[in-house]
Amino acid sequence: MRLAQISLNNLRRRKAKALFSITSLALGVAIFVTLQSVGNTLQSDLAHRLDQYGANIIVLPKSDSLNLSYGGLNVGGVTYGQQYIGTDALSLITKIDDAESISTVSPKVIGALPTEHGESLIVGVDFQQEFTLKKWWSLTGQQPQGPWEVLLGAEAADKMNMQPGDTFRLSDTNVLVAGVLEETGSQDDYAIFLQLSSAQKLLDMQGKISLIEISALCTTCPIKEISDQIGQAIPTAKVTPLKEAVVGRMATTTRLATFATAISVLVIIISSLVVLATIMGSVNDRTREIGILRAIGFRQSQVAIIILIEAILIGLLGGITGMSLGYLGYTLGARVLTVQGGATFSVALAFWPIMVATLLAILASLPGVWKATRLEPVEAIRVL
Amino acid sequence: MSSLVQAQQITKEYQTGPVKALALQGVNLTVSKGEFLSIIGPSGSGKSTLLSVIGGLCTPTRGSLKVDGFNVYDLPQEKLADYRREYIGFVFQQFQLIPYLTALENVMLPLVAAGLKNNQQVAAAKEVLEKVGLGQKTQRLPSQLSGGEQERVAISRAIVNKPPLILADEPTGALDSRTTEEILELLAQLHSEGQTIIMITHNPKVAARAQRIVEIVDGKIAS
Repeated sequence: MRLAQISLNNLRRRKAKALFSITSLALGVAIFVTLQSVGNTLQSDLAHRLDQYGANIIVLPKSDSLNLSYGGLNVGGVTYGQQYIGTDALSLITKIDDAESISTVSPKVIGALPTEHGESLIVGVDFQQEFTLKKWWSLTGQQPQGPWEVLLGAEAADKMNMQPGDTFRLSDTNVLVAGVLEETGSQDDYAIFLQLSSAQKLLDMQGKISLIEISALCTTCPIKEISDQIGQAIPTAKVTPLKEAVVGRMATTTRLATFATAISVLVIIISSLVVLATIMGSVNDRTREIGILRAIGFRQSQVAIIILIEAILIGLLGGITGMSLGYLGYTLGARVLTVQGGATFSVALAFWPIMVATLLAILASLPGVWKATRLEPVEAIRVL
Repeated sequence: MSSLVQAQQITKEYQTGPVKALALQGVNLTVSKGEFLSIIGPSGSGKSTLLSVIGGLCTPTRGSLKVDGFNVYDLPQEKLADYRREYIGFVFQQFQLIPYLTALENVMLPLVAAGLKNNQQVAAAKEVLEKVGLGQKTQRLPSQLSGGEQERVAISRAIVNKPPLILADEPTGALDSRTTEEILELLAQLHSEGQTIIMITHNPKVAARAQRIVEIVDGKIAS
């Protein structure tokens, strides 16, 4: 017989108490694992969803202009420098260190051209990138396919009295209205969108871009670093991170993570106190038994090992059970919340709660070990 | 015959709040190797405390205890545990068996503490259980044994590691007269094999089975 056999037999005999300790630990660990993993998944999901809402970096040409506009009212300005970026900038953006964090790069060329209804705002875009960037766009008709198909903003279509399928002259070119955007409440309502290359040709800006809107994944923030890298790659451009959007996204996801952590810590504390009370009570109940072992020649260290093995067994069983329940909770939680962005249940997330549960059980047994091994055997037995 | 135990001027004081109680007052006692000694005395006279002091369970306030020539209470705590394991076989009142271990496992305990291999533990424990007539009940839990059988298990546990000295505290106190006689026969048999035994009892008839009787009154040896 080994010391561990004595520990095991004791746990078998005190099944109810052992089960109570294991269940307390298991519940604590399960709630911790569920909240942490669901919290992480929700955080990643939220970041993923937030990343779908527009650009968080704007790349503009460097200029010495003084912008004189306020509240959408433009009163002109004085410009001294370059007004465009070369199209080669697009390939440079894809080569920065954090390029994998960039989800969308949407170049634009902007200008004004005459139509039958007067001077109109022209925006040349890469439609695939633009629709990825602006998930909120909703249109009647269809997305432009050919080089001379256009998309009209709601106000522009209204003013021009155009519907999908109509044609009109843009500069000296006939264009087909493929679709009309629903009202967005932004400048997009007044614009005529067409393919980037077509707009460049009509505006005589081949190889030039007015601005680039970029959406970087918030989970790999900070955006500032990405902006700096783009600025270094394109020295002729002014790169502006839209701080409010980034800070807002980070704040939302951080608050979610903090809440999950706070609840988890609370649960672990309550669970620890229950385990502490149960294991300490169990050691106290066994004072006489410990006295007998000491009287027949067990060393203090041997008695301590017997109690610690029990604590480790309780901790491991509680930890493994809790981790399994937590994984189940996570799976159900992720399913109920229909999250995007994939599972974030990791081995590390499973490993640490088991270790923590075991450590908790050991810590809970230490006062009892201290008391049991320091008592004179005769005091422990209270018989002789 | 050479002496095994030499207790000199053993005094034990207990402090309970402001009150100091003297359990033993300058007790001198010598026990020879192979001797069977009974200690008698009224309740609270200090006889159990004396047995505890001899067994290394309770440090005396003053005085010295020599067993086999060395001073027991000069030993550090862990060595004191070794002393109890190697020199002393305890037979407690109420048997004091571990309830969740079988008779065999209870008897194996001192050998577990000694770090013997499992097969050696089993062989030695079975041998002594056979000797006390419990060869067929080795796998029973204490709750499945009668009082007399539990006492036999307790005696087996006390002798399994062949200690030089057996300390028995009221070994027959909880037994009927027939079982008492069986246990006394067992102790007598061990003594006849050269075992040194110190036994505490209230019962003069039981005490009379020993070679020598010492009476303690108010913490002092009366006779």
